[in-house]
Amino acid sequence: MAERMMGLETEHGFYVEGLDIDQRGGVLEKVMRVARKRMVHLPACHGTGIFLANGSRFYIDTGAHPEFCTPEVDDPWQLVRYICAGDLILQRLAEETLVAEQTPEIVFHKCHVDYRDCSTWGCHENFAHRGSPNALPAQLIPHLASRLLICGAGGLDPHAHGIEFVLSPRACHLHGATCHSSTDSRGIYHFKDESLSCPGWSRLHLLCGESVMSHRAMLLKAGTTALVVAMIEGGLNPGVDVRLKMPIEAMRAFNADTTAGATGRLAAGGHMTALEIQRHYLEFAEAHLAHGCMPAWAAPLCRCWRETLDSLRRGIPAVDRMLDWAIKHSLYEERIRRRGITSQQLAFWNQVLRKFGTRRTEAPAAIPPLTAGCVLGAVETLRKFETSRSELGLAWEEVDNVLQLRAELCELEVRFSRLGPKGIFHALDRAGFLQHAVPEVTLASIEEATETPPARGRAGVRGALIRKLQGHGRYTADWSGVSDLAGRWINLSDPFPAGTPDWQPSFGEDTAGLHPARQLLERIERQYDSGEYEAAWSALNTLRQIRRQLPRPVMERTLQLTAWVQSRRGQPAEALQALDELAGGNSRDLEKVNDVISTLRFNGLVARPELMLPWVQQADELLAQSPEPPLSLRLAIPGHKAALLARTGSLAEARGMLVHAFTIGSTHNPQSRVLARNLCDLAELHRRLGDERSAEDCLERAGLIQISNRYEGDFAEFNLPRRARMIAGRAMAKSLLNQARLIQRRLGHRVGMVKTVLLQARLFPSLWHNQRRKRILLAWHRDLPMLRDCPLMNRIMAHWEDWVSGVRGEGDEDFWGM
Amino acid sequence: MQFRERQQESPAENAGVPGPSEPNSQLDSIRAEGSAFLAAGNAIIDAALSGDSQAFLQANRQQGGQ
Repeated sequence: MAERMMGLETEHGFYVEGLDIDQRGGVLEKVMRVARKRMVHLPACHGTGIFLANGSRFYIDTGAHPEFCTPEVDDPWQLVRYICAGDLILQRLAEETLVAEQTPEIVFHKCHVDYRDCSTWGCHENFAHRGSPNALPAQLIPHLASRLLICGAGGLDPHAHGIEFVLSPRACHLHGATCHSSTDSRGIYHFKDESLSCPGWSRLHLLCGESVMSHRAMLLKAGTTALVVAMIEGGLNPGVDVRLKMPIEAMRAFNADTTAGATGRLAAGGHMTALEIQRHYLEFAEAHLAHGCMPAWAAPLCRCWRETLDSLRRGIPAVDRMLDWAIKHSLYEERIRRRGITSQQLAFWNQVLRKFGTRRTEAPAAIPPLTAGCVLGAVETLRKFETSRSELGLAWEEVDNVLQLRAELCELEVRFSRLGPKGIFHALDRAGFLQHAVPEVTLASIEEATETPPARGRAGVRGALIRKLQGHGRYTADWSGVSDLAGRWINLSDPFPAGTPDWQPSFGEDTAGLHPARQLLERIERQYDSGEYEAAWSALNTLRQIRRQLPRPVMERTLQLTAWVQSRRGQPAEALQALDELAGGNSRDLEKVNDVISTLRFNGLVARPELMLPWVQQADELLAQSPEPPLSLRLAIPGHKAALLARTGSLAEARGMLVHAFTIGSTHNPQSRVLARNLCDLAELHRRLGDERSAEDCLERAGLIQISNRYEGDFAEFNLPRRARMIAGRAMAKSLLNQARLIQRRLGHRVGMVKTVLLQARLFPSLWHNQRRKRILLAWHRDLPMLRDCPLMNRIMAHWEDWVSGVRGEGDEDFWGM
Repeated sequence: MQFRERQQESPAENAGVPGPSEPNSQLDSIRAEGSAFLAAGNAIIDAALSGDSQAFLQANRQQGGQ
């Protein structure tokens, strides 16, 4: 039986009685201060916050949300205990802060949407696994899209003005099947893969879910997903027969339907309901209970899963004391009935209110609530509904009743998940009306979990170390280890260590290359080379937070990689800032000058001579003074100069420069990434000078280097698009660009994708596709500073019709210089 | 989705897929429990709500997180 490791991060919502959002600023700091004073802890080594003696972490996260991360546990019952223990700890901290810091009452809740400003915050699930991350999305997405039925929090659609119940308000904030970012354009499956463990382990990080209060819903949310991940890891392909053709559309349909009747279209043809998809996964798991990939707890979890799906089949009354969404559905329905609004009338009002648009933006204060006055003033809009209104015997003024009720239900939702005895869920539970309990999760076991770490796995070792080392001011903790001020560390990167590992030497003494900072740096370098810029950025953030504690060479390399990665992520200002910090006033260093040129060169769709020229001149001077410049710079700098020359029309001179650099590179470092990139540039120059045969040869050689060394980002950005431009066959060119886009999508390389989509729009225009492409490009243009500041990008977006209809650019350039 | 009026529904009607039939006494028992639950729920909710939900939502505004 295989061991599983999982955990949950909860970003809590909070409010302070009597204080507006702008007045709450210092309250969380006070809570943190009380936590540091009252709780056994070690400060977090990377980032902010503290690790507690039960192995959990508490800190303030993005958007001023207090976040509790459970310790890693190896079964979902334990997870429920530690989620509840985190709630209890936070609730007690709120009470203690009230007394110790004399604050007004602080209320924490687990609702993950703000109905006033349409913002959202997360409840992220983590599952360690030993399979290939690439195998996960296709097999897992149907489960994630359909599990709303068992673990949706329930509530209103935050984007609707009317009263439109959904199984999961958080799911209304998802925009696609997959995503790389956790703060915008969120998707069902998140590509983040920061393992926080030793090689061989990956970590699935899910952001599509939300907090639930029901213990059964918590158990099933984590347990069923862990089983699906286990089966994927075991190579069983549990989702292959239920793959959805359009996952996000299917999820939306499931989300808006409480009758379990809505269907999603399957990729293989046919349709299935969410309940049928869940039953498919359940039966698949039941059929493989004896498989080596399954954990020991799989059978009891499947029993609970089956019982819940059977209950769901009997309708809402069978689950409305058990699952969050169903409990809320019944309560909301009753509130609606008490207001004297029938279902027919509600359907009418929802139809009318949909005409007033949707609340899509997350910009605070940008969306004033819809008022009855606004509705009544829209005479033209209302006229279309006059007949229906009259048939139902309603007066337009009654819309005020509906809008008030909507606000009341939104408040109810926040108060439902409030921590502590005043929360509606807890009050109902205390009164004995709910049937959500699961074995092993009792008040006593939750209380115990506030102090004691899980018995199995590294969290237990971490917790014991925290208890032993706390109070000395010399130690810090992290998920993968505990460190002291001298830089020594205890390696907890193995999720299931045998006993407590010994102290390891500090960075300076580490001759075996085992120190976590060194390992992390090497990983980031590999990620950068393969084009995994998002993953590299995520790992870099860990190092950046502690860069002042790092030895100087590591710190410098961290800054350099920050510049490289941010430049390729379309964040040139941050890249240049890192370089400024790195230079520390000394910009007369060839390597640093080269980094600046690289950043400027890739700052936009094309190199901009006016920005690059002074730096290239400086590089020339330094190169001339340098007796033996490193080979990497002897390849990179001619590449930049050739790009500059090509932009100013000196194609032959640029070609000569790259040919010379290639001769040097192919002799001394024939597998270099920069050499391959130069070859792609050389191919483009050959093409523009009419020598297509040499161009093809260069791309082929470059491709061999890029594929055999896994320089996938460069292959997709510099090689495939150039082949597509040159190739005569339309179908082959299309396929090459699709291949580029697939790679870039997997890597999360938005800047690369912009270039590919632009080429697709120009080379393969289609009205429908180009409308869609333009929408995507406009969104990226808005999000990425590099694109906003790029004159060519702005020109293309302003003259979109010219671009897609093949109009040539200035100087008769066929791709406007791109 | 549309909310339906609970008193007009039977559990089987509520489900997209027809469920096994249940004896009348069991349905009566479910309905009675349901009524008690809703009554208790209403009392708890009435005590919890502020009375001015728009003001509450304004004061409870949150920044976006992850």
